[in-house]
Amino acid sequence: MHLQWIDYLIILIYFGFVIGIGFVLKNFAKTSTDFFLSGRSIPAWITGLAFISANLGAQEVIGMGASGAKYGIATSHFYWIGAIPAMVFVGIFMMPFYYGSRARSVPEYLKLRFDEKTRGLNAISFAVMTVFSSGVSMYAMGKLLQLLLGWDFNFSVLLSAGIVLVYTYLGGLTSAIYNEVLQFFLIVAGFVPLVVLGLRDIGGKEGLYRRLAEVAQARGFEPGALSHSWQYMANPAQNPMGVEWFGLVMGLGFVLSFGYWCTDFLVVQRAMAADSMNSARRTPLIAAFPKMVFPFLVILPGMVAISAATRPTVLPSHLQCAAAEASASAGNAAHTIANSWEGLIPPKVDEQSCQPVVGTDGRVQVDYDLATPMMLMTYFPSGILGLGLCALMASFMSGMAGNTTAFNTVWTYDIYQAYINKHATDAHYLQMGRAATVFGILISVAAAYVARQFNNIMDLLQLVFAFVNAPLFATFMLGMFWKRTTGHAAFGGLLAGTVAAAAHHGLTLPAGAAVGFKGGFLGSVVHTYPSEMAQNFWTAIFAWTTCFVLSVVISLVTAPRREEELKGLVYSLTPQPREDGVPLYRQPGPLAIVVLLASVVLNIIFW
Amino acid sequence: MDIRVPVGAIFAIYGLLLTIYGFSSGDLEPRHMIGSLNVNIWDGLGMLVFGVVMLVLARRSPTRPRSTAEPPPRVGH
Repeated sequence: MHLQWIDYLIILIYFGFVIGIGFVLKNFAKTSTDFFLSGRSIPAWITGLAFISANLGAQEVIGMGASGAKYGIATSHFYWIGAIPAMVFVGIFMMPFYYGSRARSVPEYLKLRFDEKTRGLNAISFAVMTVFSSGVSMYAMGKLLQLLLGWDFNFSVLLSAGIVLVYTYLGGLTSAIYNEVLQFFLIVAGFVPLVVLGLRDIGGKEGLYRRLAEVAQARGFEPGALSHSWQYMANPAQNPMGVEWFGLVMGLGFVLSFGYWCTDFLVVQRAMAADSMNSARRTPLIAAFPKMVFPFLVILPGMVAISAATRPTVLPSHLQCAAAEASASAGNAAHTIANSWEGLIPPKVDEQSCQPVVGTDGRVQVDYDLATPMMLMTYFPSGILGLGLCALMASFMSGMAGNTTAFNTVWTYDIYQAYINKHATDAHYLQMGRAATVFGILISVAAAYVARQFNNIMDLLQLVFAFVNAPLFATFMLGMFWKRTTGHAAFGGLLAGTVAAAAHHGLTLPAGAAVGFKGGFLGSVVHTYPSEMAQNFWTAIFAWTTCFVLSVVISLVTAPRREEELKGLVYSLTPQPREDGVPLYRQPGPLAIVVLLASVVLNIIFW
Repeated sequence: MDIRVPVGAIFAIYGLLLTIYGFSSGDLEPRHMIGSLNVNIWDGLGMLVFGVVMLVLARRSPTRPRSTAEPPPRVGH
């Protein structure tokens, strides 16, 4: 792909602005509260947009395009079931504790509510997770830019790390939040035209549905399998996700989604930076509005991609090699590659051997992760192409920045201040936060290179993180709504839940997968799931249930804390925030009702 | 600094750039056109309008993050 000067100019201007924002905000970050929590002075609409953008990393943008191509409209479950209810819950029920307790981080809330060991467990696993996710982000960006634009991997990684370092070092959380808001608008400006052009090219909604029906049948499903979200959820064999509605609703909609939105400090930190309790509670609710319509911006391009007849004129670099190889041998290989495209999505090609990758079913695999990038390259001319790539880079970088700001806060408050140096001055902790930004990013860069060398290590780490995260929401739910829950119970429940997740994963296997990372590593396979997704959902359900039951049992046999100590930390001992004199449209309650109704309507429309 | 200042400024700059570039490159292949104008012009104009609106709003009622080292603002207007 050859970019024109205008595309480079657009990208350069973006880099300039991002760094400039950091320099301007440097003067604002005078205390540790300024640096880690934006001085708790940000209005709700800004924290709301940052809340949603911190979640909308590039892996999400590209991954949801890929899922749109793989699963069709059912991908919207990740939004309308897998996000909206949890976002409403965190705003209405959990923010009064998070914001009201003046906890400076999620692990610190655990310390206030339970005890030191529960905080330590959560803080350390979270800190490790964030630096590695940031590294994986860098790796993904480096690899994508190499494929699409032929940019050097080292150059992309070091450039993005350098820029993120400068602006988070200078401006802290405020810098990250400002850039997240900028990224939000860039994604909208870059993706709305993509959807408009793509959809028109394939004949609008009717053309799309016609093609989706053809693709569904070619894959061996009913014609409507890709264009309905719920209709085929009764039987996992009938929908491309390979899940049934109960696993979907409980696993994704309840355990995984609530676990992420309600307990992940990466997003909760944005709400904690809000200027008032009312703003903090409205943060996830305001975020829910764009979240509801994002499927049209990020999933739809994937569905258009499998429907399009046009293909880009210039191929990603690894495909150029495969095409050359194929025409040289002019035999079966060329035949396979040329016929293995799905719409404008190319087949998966091994970078070293230049051969198409064949799956366990003997068919050439399609590289769904290229759905959204190929859409950009096909439908955008120079100019707006630069803008589209810029939006993508912005979401990669703000994903890294989000992780970095969450890491430096948890490191400084929950690890350094809690265990290493308890009684230093505020200026010292501010210094430590800046230092943590530097070494956090250095570890992430190292992680990016590890990911490049040993893909399996990252798969393994992500698996371990999934085990650690799965039971979390059970602990929070019990802690917030049952005052009897004790610290020993929380700690024991979390550990047992993690073990249960690992055990479940180790004893089951998705259909057609080999024993290893995918499961079955504990010696015997007790159950085979119809798909990887179904296995993940059920792993989460098992982990949650184990943590919940064990926490209840341990709580009943250990001594509870005195009620006075739990004021402001438990639902029954915390007065509900009052909204006297606040206009109706700025109250969390009515907003929540509007959000939930709208999401029900969307589910019905695309049923 | 009000967030709407950098957002407004970058959108106004991008809007101008895309609009001018769009007009100078003229008609493109049909898949890049909406009506008789190419997509750069449409998106450029949209971004320009959005950028200017943001700048105007920021000028009218500036809001900025407060440092906890500063005295809190007086309540009421």
